[in-house]
Amino acid sequence: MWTTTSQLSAVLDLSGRPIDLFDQGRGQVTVLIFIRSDCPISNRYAPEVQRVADRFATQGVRFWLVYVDPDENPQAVERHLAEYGYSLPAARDTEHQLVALTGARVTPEAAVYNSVGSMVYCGRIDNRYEGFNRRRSAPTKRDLEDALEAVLAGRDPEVKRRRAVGCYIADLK
Amino acid sequence: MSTRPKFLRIAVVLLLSLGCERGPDSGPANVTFSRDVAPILFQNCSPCHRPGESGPFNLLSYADAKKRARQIADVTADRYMPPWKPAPGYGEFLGERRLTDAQIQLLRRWADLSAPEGNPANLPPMPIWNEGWHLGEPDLVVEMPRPYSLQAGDGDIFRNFVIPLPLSERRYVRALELRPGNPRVVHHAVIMLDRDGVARRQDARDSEPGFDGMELGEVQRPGGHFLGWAPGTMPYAVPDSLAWDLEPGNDLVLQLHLLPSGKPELVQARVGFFFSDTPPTRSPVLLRLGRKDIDIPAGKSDYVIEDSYTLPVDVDVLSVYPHAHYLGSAVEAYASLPNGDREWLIRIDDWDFNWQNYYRYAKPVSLPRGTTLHMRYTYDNSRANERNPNHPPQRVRYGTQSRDEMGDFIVQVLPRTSAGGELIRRDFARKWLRQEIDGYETLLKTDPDNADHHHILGIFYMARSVSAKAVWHLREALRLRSDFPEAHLNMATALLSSRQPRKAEQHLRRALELRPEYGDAHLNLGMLLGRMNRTDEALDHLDTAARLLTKLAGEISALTANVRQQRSSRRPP
Repeated sequence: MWTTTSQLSAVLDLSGRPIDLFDQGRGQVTVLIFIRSDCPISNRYAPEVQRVADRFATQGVRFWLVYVDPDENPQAVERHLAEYGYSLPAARDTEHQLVALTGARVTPEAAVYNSVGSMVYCGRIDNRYEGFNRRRSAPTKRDLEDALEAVLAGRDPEVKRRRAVGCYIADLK
Repeated sequence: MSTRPKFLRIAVVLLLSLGCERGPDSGPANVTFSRDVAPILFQNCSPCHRPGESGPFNLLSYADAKKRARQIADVTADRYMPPWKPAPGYGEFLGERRLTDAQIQLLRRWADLSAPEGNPANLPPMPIWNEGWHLGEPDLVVEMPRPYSLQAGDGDIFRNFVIPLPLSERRYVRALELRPGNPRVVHHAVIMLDRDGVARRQDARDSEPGFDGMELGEVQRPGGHFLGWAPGTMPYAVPDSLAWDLEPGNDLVLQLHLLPSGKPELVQARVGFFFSDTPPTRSPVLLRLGRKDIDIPAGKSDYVIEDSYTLPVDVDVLSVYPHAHYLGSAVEAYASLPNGDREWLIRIDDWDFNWQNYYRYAKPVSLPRGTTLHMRYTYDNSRANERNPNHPPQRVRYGTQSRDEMGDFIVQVLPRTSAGGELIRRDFARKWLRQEIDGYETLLKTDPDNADHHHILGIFYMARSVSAKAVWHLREALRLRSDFPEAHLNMATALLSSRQPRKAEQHLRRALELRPEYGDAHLNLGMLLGRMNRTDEALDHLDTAARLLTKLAGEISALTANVRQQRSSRRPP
């Protein structure tokens, strides 16, 4: 897995340099959260993403926010991070290389990689949204947390993919 | 020879399957933004999806739309956008926002073709929108005294804000316009009028602006009108003849449904009033059909309530306001005319509390006397209803909190004559009272220790002159909660009608111990003491009442004059 991911030349940090998210967290569980700054659903998830990241930080899980809109420059990303109270590292997936690698379809969507670099889950954060128009007041299933609990316990999550609801990444091509 | 037809057949199959992937055949094969999509968006989406309005992103340019091409196709196919709940053909309303099936297919086709721009020369002109107030410069603008800070948390918030109105004389309102201040987090608004300072007292309970909750209790809809705001709805001015009055001392109560955006937000709404110079000549009546005996078993997916009312006079229906909470799944209402015809008033097949609204008919619906109004609501209390606030599902009864259910169908009617107005008000009040009593009796069966329910039933039995039952329920209310000033006040009234003035006096004094500035209690005690010929004490309480109840100033000064006369006539010459 390591060799594949280090080929991602168009995944950039906020100073514009290519960055290997997986190399940084070698041996650790890594979570990618695909977002964009103008998607109301991924924005509404900001407090939840930060909460889950905080909960698992002490267990060595590294979270990355992956901005998928190539039009969002580093300044726009910085501004978005500050506005939404994120204290997580961010990268820009300017050519959707991480999108292709994970198969993520929408923002927000989470991909979980285990400590040997295999993707064990990709999909919704929780079941708050069943559709644009079908929203629960509170989730009854927290898929990302369940997946992280499983992978930290050395198990595979119960499902590898769960359809997420949000803004289509393919619309940004 | 034998192979050629086979090839041909294969070629035909391929063509057909390509056709299927492109969706049903309608509209031009080559769909472009500039020529085909922009006219639909500019007309139906851009009014809200532009800076300063409620849409969470802009849809003004090719770049805006291209970034959401599939999303646009999906949300329009779902008819989630543009937001418009009533089913077509079941009532014709003002401000209807509905795309045609052909428009929806065209948007899908455009997304499937990877959102081509086409020739920008074909773009229609961008509509020109009225910035600021839609109805022009208001006669009076009020604002929430302080901004409310909405936290980034994830739940829906229902918050009520009290805005005092700076009026020195009575004014007549023909229109009201809400500017939500931060439209991207205000999901909808209900606007009420508080003529008694009830909401002000609730607001004072904590230091934050406003107070939480979904139901506003004694706060009213002014003069038979619905006032509210939802994304995309245009403010509406009634004819001067139907204006409603505002009195000095009235407060406006804004109930805002706020949906956090993910970051902290400030909300400070403004309201503009448009006045009429002349008093109204007619006033609409709100008929509230519905049930209070709602009791939905856990897991039931098709619980139904029904109610009906037969009109005693000819009316024109101006608008309707359906109301249910998160379990509501379908709303149907229609009128059965005396000749047997059915006229639909509204049908909503996918009720969504978050998009509740009032609906004004494009043309008033004329209904003759003898017409029966029917409402039928369906509720889904199963696990399959994502909006179900209980997980797992719980038994749910009538109540005003978001986890309870309601089933109201409020019909705004304009009686043809003023005599007709009086008649329908009286007639409907009887029906309403009967229904309220049945509903609260049902609620008490499962919740016998609810002091509020006993209190309300006591008031209703008084209204029906059943004093023994009134006294019994008020006594229960006070047994369950002895520090209940309103129940003491009403108990005094009930005791007076069963001729027990001494006991009534004790209850009024207790009410005043609990709330020294209770204007109604001072007034009632003043009147009672006057009747008992204790004129000096009576005048003290009437003075205090006059100070606290400014809107009753005329009535109180007449009472005061009477007591003064009574006092002087008893004095020796």
